Amino acid sequence: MTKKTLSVFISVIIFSLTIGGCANINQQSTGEQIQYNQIGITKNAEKPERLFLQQLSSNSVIVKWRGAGEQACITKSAMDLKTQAHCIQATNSDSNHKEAHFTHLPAETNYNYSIGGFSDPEMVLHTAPIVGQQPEDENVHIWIIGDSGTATYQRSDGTFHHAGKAQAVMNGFLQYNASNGNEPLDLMLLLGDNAYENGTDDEWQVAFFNLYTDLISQTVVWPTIGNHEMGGANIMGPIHGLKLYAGASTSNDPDSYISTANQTPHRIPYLDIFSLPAKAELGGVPSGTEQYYSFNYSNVHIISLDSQLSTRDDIQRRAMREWLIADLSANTQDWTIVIFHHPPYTKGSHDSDVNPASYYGFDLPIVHIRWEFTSIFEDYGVDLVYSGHSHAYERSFYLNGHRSDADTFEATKHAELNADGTPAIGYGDESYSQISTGSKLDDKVVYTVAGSSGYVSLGKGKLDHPAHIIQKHDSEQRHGLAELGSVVLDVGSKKLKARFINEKGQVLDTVIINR
Amino acid sequence: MIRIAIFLLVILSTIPTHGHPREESKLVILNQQIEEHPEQQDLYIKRGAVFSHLGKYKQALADFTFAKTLGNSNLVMFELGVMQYQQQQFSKSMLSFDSYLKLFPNHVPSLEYKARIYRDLGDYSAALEGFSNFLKLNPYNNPGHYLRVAELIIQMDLGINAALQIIDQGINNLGKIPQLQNFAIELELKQKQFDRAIERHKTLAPAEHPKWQLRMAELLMAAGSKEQAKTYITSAKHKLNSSKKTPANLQLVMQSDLLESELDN
Repeated sequence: MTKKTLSVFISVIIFSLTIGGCANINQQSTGEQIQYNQIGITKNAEKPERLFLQQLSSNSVIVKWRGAGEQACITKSAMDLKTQAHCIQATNSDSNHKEAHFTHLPAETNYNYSIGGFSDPEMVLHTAPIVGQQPEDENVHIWIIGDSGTATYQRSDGTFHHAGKAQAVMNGFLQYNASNGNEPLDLMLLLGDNAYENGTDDEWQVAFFNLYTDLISQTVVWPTIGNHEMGGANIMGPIHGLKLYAGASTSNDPDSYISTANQTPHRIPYLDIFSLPAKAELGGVPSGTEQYYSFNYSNVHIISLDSQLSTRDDIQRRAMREWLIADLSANTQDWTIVIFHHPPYTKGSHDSDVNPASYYGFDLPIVHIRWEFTSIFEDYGVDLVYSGHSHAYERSFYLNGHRSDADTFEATKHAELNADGTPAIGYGDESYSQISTGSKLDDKVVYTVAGSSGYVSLGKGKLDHPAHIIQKHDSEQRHGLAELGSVVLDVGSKKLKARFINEKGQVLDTVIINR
Repeated sequence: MIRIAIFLLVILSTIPTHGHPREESKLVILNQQIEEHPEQQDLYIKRGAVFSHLGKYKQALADFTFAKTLGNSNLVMFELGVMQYQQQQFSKSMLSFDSYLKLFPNHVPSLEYKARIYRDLGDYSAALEGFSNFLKLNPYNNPGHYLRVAELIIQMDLGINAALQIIDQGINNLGKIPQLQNFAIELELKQKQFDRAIERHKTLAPAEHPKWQLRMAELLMAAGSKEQAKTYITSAKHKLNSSKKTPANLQLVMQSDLLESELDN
């Protein structure tokens, strides 16, 4: 059991032995020294309806919630919540959220916290390691889910598509995690479409906040914008005429969001829900917009791009590209991961070839990303790219230079090769090296589609994109898996390992990069 | 009765005749939809826009006029304004866009058209003011908004300084971000304002990584400060020795060699 796990375990035990006390408001906080002189628990306090962590760093965190409670308190142990705590009055933010921004915290420290006098065993947080340094347990443990928002995916008759599937994926992850050291998560990355069908605030509540309640009260969440986050669009079709199709917006304007519930254009709920770093608050280069951003965690640099909105306008796309180059140029972390919704290589429920992707205009981002961004990833040392959108799992070879349709892929030109000239598959003897053995440069990227965290669907797709490895656990030996699941990523100093875990907690794919 | 007459007139005139196959196929679909949903306002707006694109202004106007009777008349105004602009009916066009902006104050295309009208009428300061106000009023601008407006100003020959003003407005609101500051640097260089370009470059954070240093060296060389440029090149080369072996860094090594040889010459 690691030190971090043990600390959390002890906090939970101590918490469960405490009894509520009375609130005492007499707050002081001076510079580097945090003074604890309030009491953080109130009898009969109400649980917030929504609670999650944002922008967690080695010395700060934003606790964000909606519901009762006008202040948040933290202490180093649950017992202290009863006797003394550091409390901050909430500031109001968009859509009736409240935020408490704690600063001057020491790195890698466990805290129990309360909201409005309410606390429970899950309300614990662990500040991040100092940037550039390894965590105490020498591992950054990350969970990645894509297109998980199916708890709100309703049919016209009111019944639910895919009921229970996102829960099953989470259970699979928890089962896997429990069998492998039960390490607490450091980060949770969302690949978009995390609240079907329109990404309304209500859908986010049910499909995300109600489902992942325990995890997100103690693990910082980092999202990206999917097509369903952007509501829908009225489309003229020969059969149905003018109809609002969810997930079909081709607008570049986040204020043009509409949904079936409300067709007056307004701001995309996603941007009201999340508090994301537009000013390089956690490292990286300031982007000036929450639509795309970056941050550092330990020895990892993570970038969230906006494939849904910013790619749909030439000027905004160029601006995002310029920012990305500046950000990657300034990056000095050991590992670099990029997330965005639209996968540049896929033959799942979406097709990344130019003709189908651009015919249905709402998939044009796939093409723009491939044409204009993959070269940047490869030139600037990005290691892993994660996307959702296609509701299956596909994981590429270690790629460089593949910009056109699937049938132009040539392993000898575009993939890291074994000594015998076959493309390396990324695990065992064929694990990848950050510095490519072929080119002697850090110029290759593994692209993964992980869009099956809420349901599996292939549509007309056949999982036959040759840039993706043939999955040995697929009964049809396709270049992908039609399986529910999520990705667990473990990042150390010299190695990162990504695993696809299905809903039964089984590992179906692994990729390793060494440095 | 008048409604039916207008409706029939429009139907009779919608038989496709020549050119614009995509627009004409849209007409076929829209005609069909209007038959099935004759009360639906947005169908007439869409068809009016198609007529307008095809240059069939009478039919377009008929659709827009009828659409106004079916719902909020301001919803018609953007497409009507576009048609009026194409017909150089600038005053009417301006009024139409103003009406549309009452509903959608952040509608950039309407603001763009208004700026074009001011420019076409020779009132450049009004054109700039309109853009500036839009950017000031919108609480959620992203970098692209400022860049778009700045580029429009350049395209409309309204002056580099006017464009810089917009960019600086963006920098004040969004921070000293590379998307805006690099654009501003290029504009300063166009005006041979090397010192201002250098000052802008200094604001880009984090500084002192090789790419930043080499760009600084280029700017200093443009400004005639060769010794200072050399310092940055040397520092960049030193850092690149221990940087990740990426294609981008390899490119920077070549760039540093090139800059060095330029200096030596």
